[in-house]
Amino acid sequence: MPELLNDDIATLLRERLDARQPRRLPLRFVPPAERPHRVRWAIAVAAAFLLGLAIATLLQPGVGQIVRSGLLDRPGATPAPTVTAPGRRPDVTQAPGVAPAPSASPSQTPAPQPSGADGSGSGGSAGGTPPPPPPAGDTITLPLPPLPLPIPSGGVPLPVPSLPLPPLPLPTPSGGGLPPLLPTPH
Amino acid sequence: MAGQVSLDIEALYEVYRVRMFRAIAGVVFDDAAAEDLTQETFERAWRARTSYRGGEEEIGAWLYRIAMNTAMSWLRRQKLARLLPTRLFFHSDQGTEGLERVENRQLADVALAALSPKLRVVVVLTYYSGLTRQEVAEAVGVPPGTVASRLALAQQVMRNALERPAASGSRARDEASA
Repeated sequence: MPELLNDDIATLLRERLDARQPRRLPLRFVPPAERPHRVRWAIAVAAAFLLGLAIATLLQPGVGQIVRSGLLDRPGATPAPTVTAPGRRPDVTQAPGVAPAPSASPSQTPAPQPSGADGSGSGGSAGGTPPPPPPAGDTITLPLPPLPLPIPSGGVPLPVPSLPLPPLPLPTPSGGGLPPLLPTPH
Repeated sequence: MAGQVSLDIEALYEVYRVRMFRAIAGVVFDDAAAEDLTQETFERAWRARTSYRGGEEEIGAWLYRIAMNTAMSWLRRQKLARLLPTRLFFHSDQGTEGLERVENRQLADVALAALSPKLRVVVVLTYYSGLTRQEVAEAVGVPPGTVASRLALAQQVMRNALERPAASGSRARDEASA
């Protein structure tokens, strides 16, 4: 009896589903267009950008901040002002955060400091321009020229006048000799 | 000849499109959605045609597998798995047909609506599409023993639902989901 019932159910279901007719299903199959290429290209470009950004950030940590500020703050003309700001406009607030600024100054700062500290003054080009005030470099070169004092380094002996000194009159005691300080008891 | 079959999806569409539509409609209970899902099924088959490694006799089972996966994905998206029995298409095609036939269709709807989607897929592939147990197992992605147990459970649930047509809604659904 259950088998018959199962067959009946199967017949019912078959008849029920056979009665369904599609109304707007197209008669012919139209292959879909090849669409994933654009998505793949977009993903590849985005991945390449992120990879490059990551590598650049590893090599130079300031790049990430530059790109981030460029993308978020000012998407239009960010690179130009950020790079030229430290040299020309010291009042720009983004200048200290820019990476090229410290990279340019260290090449000049270490050399003058030791030479200036020695006080040799022989290097006119290096000693005359101390790095901290580069905009006012002309005014700082002035105090250094007064230094050209000839420092005797032992090359040419200067003639020293040897004055004949009179012999010092040594006071001699009357005894003719110095009295013994401590009498030795014998 | 596995791997040697070149699939002509357009020809397969002409042969299988109505059958796929009906099988999908038996699972999703929505004719309009079944039409869309039928097209989606053949689009998926068209994209996967180069990776087909079966023989000619397995093309139907392969298409049914894609169709059932598409239907189940749609059900998951719509989150209608537990709301389906309330969306029966009872009065959609009651015309001048005999009262007995209409009543039989209603019984079939009640029986199908009592099933959970997993059981419904097994029932549709077995009773309507005529797939073997092994083919159903491959289409659904479960062992053949699981197909047999699901089919037995589905038969019991449908029988209970047909014995109590008035109360076929929630009680049979609870049994199916248990």
